[in-house]
Amino acid sequence: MSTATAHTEDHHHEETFISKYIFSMDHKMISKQFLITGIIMGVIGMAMSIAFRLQLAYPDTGFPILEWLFGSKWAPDGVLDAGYYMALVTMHGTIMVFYVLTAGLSGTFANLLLPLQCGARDMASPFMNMLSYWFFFLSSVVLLSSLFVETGPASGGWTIYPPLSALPKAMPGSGMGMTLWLVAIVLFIASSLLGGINYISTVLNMRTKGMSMTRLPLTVWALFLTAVLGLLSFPVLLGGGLLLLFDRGFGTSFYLSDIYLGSAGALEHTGGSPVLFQHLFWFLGHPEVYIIIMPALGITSEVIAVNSRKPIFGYTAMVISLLGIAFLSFIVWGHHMFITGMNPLLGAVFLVTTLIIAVPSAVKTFNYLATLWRGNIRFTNAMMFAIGLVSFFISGGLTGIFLGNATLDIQLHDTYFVVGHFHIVMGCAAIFGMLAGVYHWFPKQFGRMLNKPLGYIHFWLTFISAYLVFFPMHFMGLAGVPRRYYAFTLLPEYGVWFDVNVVMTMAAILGGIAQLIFLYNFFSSMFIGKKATQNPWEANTLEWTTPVERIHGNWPGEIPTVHRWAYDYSNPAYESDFMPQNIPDAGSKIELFETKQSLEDTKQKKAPNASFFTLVKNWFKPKTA
Amino acid sequence: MINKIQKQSKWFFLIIGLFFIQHSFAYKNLLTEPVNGQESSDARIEEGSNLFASNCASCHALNKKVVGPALGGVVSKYDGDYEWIISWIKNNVKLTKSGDARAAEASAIDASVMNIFENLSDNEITSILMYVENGGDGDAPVAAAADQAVAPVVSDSLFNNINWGIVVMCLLVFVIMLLIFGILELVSNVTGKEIINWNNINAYMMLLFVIGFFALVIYEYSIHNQYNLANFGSASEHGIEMDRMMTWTWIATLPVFFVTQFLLFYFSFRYRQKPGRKAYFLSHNNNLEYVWTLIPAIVLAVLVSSGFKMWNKILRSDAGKDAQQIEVFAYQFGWNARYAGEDGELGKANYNLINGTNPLGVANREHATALISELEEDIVSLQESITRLPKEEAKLRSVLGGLVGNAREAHLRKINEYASGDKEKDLRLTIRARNTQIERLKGALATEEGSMFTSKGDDDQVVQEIHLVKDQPIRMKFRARDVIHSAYLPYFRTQMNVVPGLPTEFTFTPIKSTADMREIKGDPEFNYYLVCNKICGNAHFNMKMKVVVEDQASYDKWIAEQAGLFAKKAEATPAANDSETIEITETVALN
Repeated sequence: MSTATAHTEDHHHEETFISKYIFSMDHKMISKQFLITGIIMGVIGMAMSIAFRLQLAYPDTGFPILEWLFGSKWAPDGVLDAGYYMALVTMHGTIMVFYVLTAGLSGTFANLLLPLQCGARDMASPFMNMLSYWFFFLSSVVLLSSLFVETGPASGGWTIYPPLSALPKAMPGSGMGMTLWLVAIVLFIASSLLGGINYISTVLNMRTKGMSMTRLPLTVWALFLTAVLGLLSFPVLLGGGLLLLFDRGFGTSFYLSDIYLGSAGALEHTGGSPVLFQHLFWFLGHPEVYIIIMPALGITSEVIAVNSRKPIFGYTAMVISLLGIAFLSFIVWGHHMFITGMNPLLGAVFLVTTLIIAVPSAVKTFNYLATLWRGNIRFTNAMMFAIGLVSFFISGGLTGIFLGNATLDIQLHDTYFVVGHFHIVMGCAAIFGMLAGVYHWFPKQFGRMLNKPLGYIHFWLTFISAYLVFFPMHFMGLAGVPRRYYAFTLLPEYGVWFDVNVVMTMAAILGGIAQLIFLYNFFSSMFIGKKATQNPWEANTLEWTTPVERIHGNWPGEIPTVHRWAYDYSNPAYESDFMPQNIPDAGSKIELFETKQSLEDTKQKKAPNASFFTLVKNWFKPKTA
Repeated sequence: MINKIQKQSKWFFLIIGLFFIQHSFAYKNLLTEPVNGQESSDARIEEGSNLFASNCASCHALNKKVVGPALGGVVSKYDGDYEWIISWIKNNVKLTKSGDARAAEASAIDASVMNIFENLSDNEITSILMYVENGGDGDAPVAAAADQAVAPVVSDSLFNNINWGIVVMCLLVFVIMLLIFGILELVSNVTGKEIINWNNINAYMMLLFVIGFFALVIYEYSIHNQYNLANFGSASEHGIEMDRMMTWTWIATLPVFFVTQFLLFYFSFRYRQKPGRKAYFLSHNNNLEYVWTLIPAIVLAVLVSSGFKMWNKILRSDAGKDAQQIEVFAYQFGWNARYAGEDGELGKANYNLINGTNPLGVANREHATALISELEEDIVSLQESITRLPKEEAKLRSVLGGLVGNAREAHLRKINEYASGDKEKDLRLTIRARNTQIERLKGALATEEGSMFTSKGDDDQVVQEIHLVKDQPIRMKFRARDVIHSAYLPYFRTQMNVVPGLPTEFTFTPIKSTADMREIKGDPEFNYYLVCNKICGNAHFNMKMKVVVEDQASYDKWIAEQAGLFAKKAEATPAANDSETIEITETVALN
């Protein structure tokens, strides 16, 4: 496939079913594969969460459906077994974090958008790209297969802290299930690295003529920096995971020391440190949070700009804040470990870096608000989800200020406050970013439109149910209720949360039903949806210059040349409220990092850069139509 | 009334039954039991209930499976063979390894292994079993709380009998909705006019949502924030300042929350698309961006510096170095605490020294020597088990023919463990670990200088609840036996992970006694608890230790009653008799 870049319309070779749909090297097909695998994993992950939410709301009620699903061993009489509850929590976390929000999100949109928005015929290495998907697929299969082993899947939490995860005799889930978990993650990391190298080289080497880094859409910037983060952090988890495999199987003591197990007596291991694993894990684990949220933020930037019919406010600031987040995300991992017995001096250092990261995040939020201000907002389905993301990002970001403060973390660590915080800021926000992307680029991926009214119903149900599930959790946390409890029976004072748990479970079920509507919409629209036009959202970016029939090599003729940045919406210099990047128009250059000469050339047509006070004054002025 | 008679008659029969059991099995401890009085039996059951709560309740309940199986009716399950049940409870691992058939069967019930309880006397275990047989009818304080709390009133019909009619109705409504949307779209395609203005509907929904959302926030704040621990005031000194910082963080974040959320939805509503309007072209404004970079930066700088100062004050100060020290010890699934005893110093401890009689592994020369011979015996029995393996395998194979289906599968897996050599490998590895342990113990015993075997540990008191003196700083040193746990004391704003192989500690000063907090909360039953807050296994949710904060006088009284670890053992050597039974009962009751 080394000639992929030379493919044109008249140069088509016969494609078999297998080479077109299964072992495809076309980036658009691979993105569909990632998306659909991600959706399947997402459905499994969500079903698991509803299963354990049923347990939390109705601890003594039997649900025959659970027995039917998990068998009488794990759900005797329809009541979830304590060990299997842990297993479901672990698998839910693993599936959602890695398989849905890392591979499902980055994999789908990096594959789809990087070549299309940069103006390339395909990825830099199509074969590696295919391998990346198949490693991911294999990894998913291995992970799911661990549901069927005798001792159950991994159940030590998605953070798999040793010694619990290192000693098969410490809990049933640390047996075969844990080994399979580690194998799955090793395969996953291979997939992620293959993809990441590819994304980076595509963005750096394969941009079309005129597409300078400062003209890149923010989606590309976000996906590019995400790939950099993944490339630098995933190998550390790989190392940590391999050492854990050695501790499990080969008698080494990297993470183990001074252990007496009830079932095995004093163990031989000495000299290791469980905290070492936590450092290695969170050195990936924290950048991972940004690996999840940055593509979602990139998608949101694009969707909000297109649908507000306004340039994204402060493009430069958005890029700089992405760079800032990417850099800072590598020096904040310790905030997951404030009270793990790490030296308190380190805690103080991580406290400082953690709260600094709130600044670029705040800048992004304010810039989104400024983009909406005086826009001409079209509520497409994608736009709704993008607005939802901003709302989650605000709510979850603010609770992060509590948790990032080491002093307050002493009290809030591992309580339901944390569960509420991260589900809102990285779970819901990232899922909404992903859904915004799916709704926005569905016409590009499948050539058809999704059903709009169903999309609205999907949005409102999901949005409301998500807040109903996760908002009350903060108050549980403030009352000191620990997370990862199978039942709230330990102390009488937990009793007051029974009603709340019922409400949260009901809301979770409502959210689940909403996703069924989405699934129906997604899979039916693929075949019976309205035919899409070439540029349904009237967007500027290059992917909308390709034909609706998605051809191999993307553009039938020459690759378009780029003449401006991606956000020329409602520019008074033009009649139309958008101006695609590929249309040549000599006098209309509005760039970010102009040279002095071009600045003078275009002075009169430059964007009004009013002073702060003028803006405030304008606020009260009647708006001109 | 009838209930009461039934209850009493049940006990009566039980006691008669026990009487027979004693005679038929000639079980020595039961012979010393006063079996003729209702009262002493009540005391035994009460004692058993307390022991059950502190030793068994983290994994077992009477009538439902928790981690281990339900224990109701366990005595009759094993035909009232008290001797066997007691030896199982004391050391199930040993019993299984000795080749006992019933033990092998019992250990196959669950993959997780039961703890060893050699620290319990035969008498105490008998009390537990008496309690278990009587079904714990609500008098037992802790275990009953654990059992009762899981009984919220829920209508079972809600999910169990899915109303298919309703499901079909929902589907129908969905299909009709689809049809209506489809028809409307067709009409609008033909007429060229949009029938439903989705843009306006959604814009107004945005406005509605933000109102509803703020209503939810205010509702939550007024209803559920009443359980916020900050409302009751911190029970520790450093917590007061933490609560103040929490308040300031709320003050810094809540306005931002309301303003930005409102603007987000208001802008969405206000600037919805209208025909003929064009958006205001505004690509950037540097001054504005400086403003909203600098303001968060300043606010966060304030929060960072105060958080930094406080963190250093709480965790890095030397103020508490002279405080009273106690050790908090975590294991799957429970807690112990160790007080220093009369000498005021905690003896050294090591995980290699842990066994049933010394659950914390406190260093003591005699104990270590005894442990070495115990381990050597263990090695001998393990070696015997290895020689028995072929015979066991042959026996398993001999009964394979009669089995079908799942039972056969399970049996084949069992045989495979023998055939593949896994079983033997496991035993050999255990022998190696025991040898290493013996070597290490011998090495430690031989060390003269800086030896861990000082007499400081002999008077240490190992207890199952923590007593603290009000207004007196306490330095908790944490040690874990097996996996990572986390000692979480929410009312004291204190939390620290308990990590095997890595000593951790936390110093704080309790300023509100249990009685004070009971008054504040208006709950005479209230108690402080230390709970586990790091996933540590299947019974993670069931792991707590009571914490009592009291005045000096009550503390002195309590601590005086706690026996020293190795002193107690010396007294208890004479054969069990009535006086010992009473003594243990008292200790436990006061616990």
